Amino acid sequence: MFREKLGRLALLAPFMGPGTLLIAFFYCVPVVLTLLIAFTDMGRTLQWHFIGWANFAKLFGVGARDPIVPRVITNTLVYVAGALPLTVIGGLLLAILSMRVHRGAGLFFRTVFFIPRAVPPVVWGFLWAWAFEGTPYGLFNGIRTAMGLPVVHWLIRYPMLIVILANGFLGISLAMLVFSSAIASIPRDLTRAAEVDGASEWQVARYVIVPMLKWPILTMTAWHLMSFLNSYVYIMLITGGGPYYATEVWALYGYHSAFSYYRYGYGASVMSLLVIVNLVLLLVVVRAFGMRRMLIRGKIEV
Amino acid sequence: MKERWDRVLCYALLAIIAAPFLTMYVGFFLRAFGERMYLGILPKEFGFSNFRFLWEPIAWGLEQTTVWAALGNTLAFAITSGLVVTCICMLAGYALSRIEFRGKNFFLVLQLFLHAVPGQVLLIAVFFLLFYVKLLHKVPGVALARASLEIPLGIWMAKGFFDGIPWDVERSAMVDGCTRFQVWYRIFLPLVKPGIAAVFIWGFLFAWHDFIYAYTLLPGRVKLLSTLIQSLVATEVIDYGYLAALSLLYMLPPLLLFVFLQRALLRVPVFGGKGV
Amino acid sequence: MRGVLIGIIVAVLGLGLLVQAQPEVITLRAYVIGPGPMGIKKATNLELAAERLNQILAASGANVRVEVQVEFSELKWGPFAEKFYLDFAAGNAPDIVTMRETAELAEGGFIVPMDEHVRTFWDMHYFDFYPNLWEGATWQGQIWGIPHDISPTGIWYRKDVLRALGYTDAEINELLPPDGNTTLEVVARLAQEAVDAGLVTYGILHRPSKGPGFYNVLLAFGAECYNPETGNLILDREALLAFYRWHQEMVDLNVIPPSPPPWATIHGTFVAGDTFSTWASHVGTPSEWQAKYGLTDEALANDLGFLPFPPTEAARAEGVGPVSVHDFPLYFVTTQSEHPELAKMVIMFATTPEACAIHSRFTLRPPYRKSALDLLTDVDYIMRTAASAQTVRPVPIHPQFWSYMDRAFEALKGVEAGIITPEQAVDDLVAWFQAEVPDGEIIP
Repeated sequence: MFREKLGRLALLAPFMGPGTLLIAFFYCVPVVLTLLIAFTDMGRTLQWHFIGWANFAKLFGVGARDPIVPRVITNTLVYVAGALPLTVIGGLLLAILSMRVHRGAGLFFRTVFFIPRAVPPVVWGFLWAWAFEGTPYGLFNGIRTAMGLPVVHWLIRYPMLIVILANGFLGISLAMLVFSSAIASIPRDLTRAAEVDGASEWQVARYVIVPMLKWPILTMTAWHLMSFLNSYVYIMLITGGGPYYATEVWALYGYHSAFSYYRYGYGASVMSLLVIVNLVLLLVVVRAFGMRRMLIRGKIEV
Repeated sequence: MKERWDRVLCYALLAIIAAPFLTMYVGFFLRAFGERMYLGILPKEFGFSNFRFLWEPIAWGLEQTTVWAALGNTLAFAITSGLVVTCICMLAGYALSRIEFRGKNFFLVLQLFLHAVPGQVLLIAVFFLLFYVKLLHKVPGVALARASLEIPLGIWMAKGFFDGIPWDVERSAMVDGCTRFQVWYRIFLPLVKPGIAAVFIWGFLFAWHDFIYAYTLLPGRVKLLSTLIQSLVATEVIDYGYLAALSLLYMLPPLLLFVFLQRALLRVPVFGGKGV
Repeated sequence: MRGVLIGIIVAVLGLGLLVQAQPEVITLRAYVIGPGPMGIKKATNLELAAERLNQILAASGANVRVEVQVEFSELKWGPFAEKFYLDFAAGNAPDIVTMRETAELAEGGFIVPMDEHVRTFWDMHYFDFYPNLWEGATWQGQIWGIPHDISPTGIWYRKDVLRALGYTDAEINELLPPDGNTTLEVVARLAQEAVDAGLVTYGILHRPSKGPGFYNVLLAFGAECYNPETGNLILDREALLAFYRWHQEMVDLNVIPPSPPPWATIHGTFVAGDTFSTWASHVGTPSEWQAKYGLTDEALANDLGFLPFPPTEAARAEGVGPVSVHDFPLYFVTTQSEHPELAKMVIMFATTPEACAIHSRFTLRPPYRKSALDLLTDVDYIMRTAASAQTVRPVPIHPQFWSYMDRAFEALKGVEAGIITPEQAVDDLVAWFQAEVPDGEIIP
């Protein structure tokens, strides 16, 4: 019995070994390490002491509270509340629209909206930073100037809006693709039957197509919810969290605390809360969707 | 008649939403090749002066580098990452597809969990981890860290490819007395070449596009193309044409790779395919 | 046979002598920061120090030599400090390092106190360092490092713009005297005239990031930030409110832009004459302007003017005078050094009048010791500006001082961009202060 087990292990080792090791080292260990660092005052000097719950106390407002935290929480909620509907509803809308028009045109538009995801983050960030730059050298302000209109300091006056748009359309890239392929796989007879019964195109869309997309819609919502909660790279590239914390979301605040202000302990506490929220959300999603279903599907696809 | 209006409405909506983006893309492209700009978007003349980084060093703040050094670093980073992902996922994917063992389902589910916790949230811990194993500030170390982020989904992809190969192949090979490893190496790998290409591109592309890991974990003087572009945006009086040209160069290699391996990719099991 | 024996003995003796004649070389490592290429002399001075030390050792017949391996870095202060801490944690710290974070380094046990050394060699060497400088090297009653690079901050302005507005040189000298005996409002008024007349794009440009120049402006408003008697940080509500209100007003009047442009713009436009006044530079900046932005000697002599920051009228009424600050680096000896006393010797030789003059000549920064001035009589600019080093105020040495400045600067950016009101900025700062600096003092 034991020999069998050992034999099995020897068999598995070269295949599963490297992957398991790497995942353990760069995923599992960091999750634990982040929590550990959160209980210290690790700073730039790389000397640390255990300070217990002090970092978390500052976040939750026990005793003296960090005044930026409420603002960061609000920003995060606004950001997610803006970007998530934009992604799901926008993706749905564009998927439906692009399938209603002539095939070539549909492909063209889907490409246009897929480009954000095909382009490196730095370039996407740079594109938005350039497009909305507050001087006449920016793209849209250059056009405004040419039309005789005054310059608008988009990034200073409407930073959250721009950040929501930039990330929202990034989400749309994926959502639109998923919805399109899901729509394409809806059996023709269903839609034809509805049309024969006298339904207009919009009614077909509303009463036949959308209900059939329940699964992809839920998947995309859950996926993007977690994605937006954790995302900060694009925001960092476009506005840097500013001006004056106007677009500083939770994840970005954690990053800045650690790597800009060199308060690794505090940053780790911010990030570990995020990790916990992630895990909780994941459990909820798994519960709601049924893990078995997802696995069984995998088998069928063979 | 109503249908006609409906259709026009569709086109109109799509066009309105797409317009700003098209403006951005076209403007970006033109800006790279434009000399002096009119209306901020239409060049007065065309030229290659924005591509001067090809033969001049690039300076930002008090430092400078050449685009070739950055390109070399990025290639090293992305290729290392891609190779690591490919090797590991091809190995693990085979085992997950073909070998029964306890905890297999748990492992697969774990991959989904892990994919949901994005690596960028764990950067602080990764920073210290790399420091303690003396791999911080070194391209191979950071490439390894980056690769591990793509492994969860890469494993699912690889498994998908292996699942597509009928069982008889294996049976006949094992009858001939090959070890499992030999079966994998000699028989399966050649059969899943499109899978290898797909997984490699997956790992390569994400590493090529990476910014935050390189920015945080590599020292300032080791520049990848992504961190180089960001430095220019952050510290200099921004010459948008120059940046646009540099960005175009940055986007080129993955496209080339994609075209190169395109045929092999036509059979990728797409996430969100039928009936999902 | 005998011959062979004698030959062997001679050979062995000879080898022995040869081996003994090789002096023992002690290698010291040093990290020196620019930032940027201008600071190179701080590194070469350490090599010069080794040279001088070796000359003395050779003369004394001692069989020891010193070699200093200097790693000169053009990294900025932040990344340089980070590199140092990383190397220290890895056990790989150099013997000598130039940094500014005295309190942090001393508290964390990274550096060795220099008190004893300075006292021993005071009459021989350290006596003619300007006394005000030692304040910037002292933490909790002990001296921790040696000053070697001073550049007082102040206001640079363009005289040619004033002349174009119709002022004579005499009037200019009266309005903006070189000793700073005027008010900040005068500078603002002139800047506004220049902007309104369309002569310049920018009236006043300040730093795009926190720094000594920022602290300097706070002091000009009478906003003291540090209490040297108690060693605690201070928050002066009223003065800070005046500070933020004034900046908001300046943005409204178009004198200061709503968001600070990057360094390249600040330097470039000032040298080109497109900015009336820059508050982001110091006495030594002209060397950078000459090297990188094409400033000519004539322009420096005729068209540019400098003065320490004058107080505001309100501050002046309370007795605040013109002030200039600098956050200067110090030569430190690390606790991981195996030859700390030798390292201190090297530092001493790197701060001789000779070394000081070499650095001043190259960077146009004023010398930090009086005797060096005698070696610089041929450099007109230095002779004119040398006095500034005698009156410069070092920035406070407190572990949280720069976090405080960081927060205050972020708030300034918010006020200028119109995101928050000056009142909100001060309230936020007070909230931060109460949370992060428990023994800080708040003055209403």
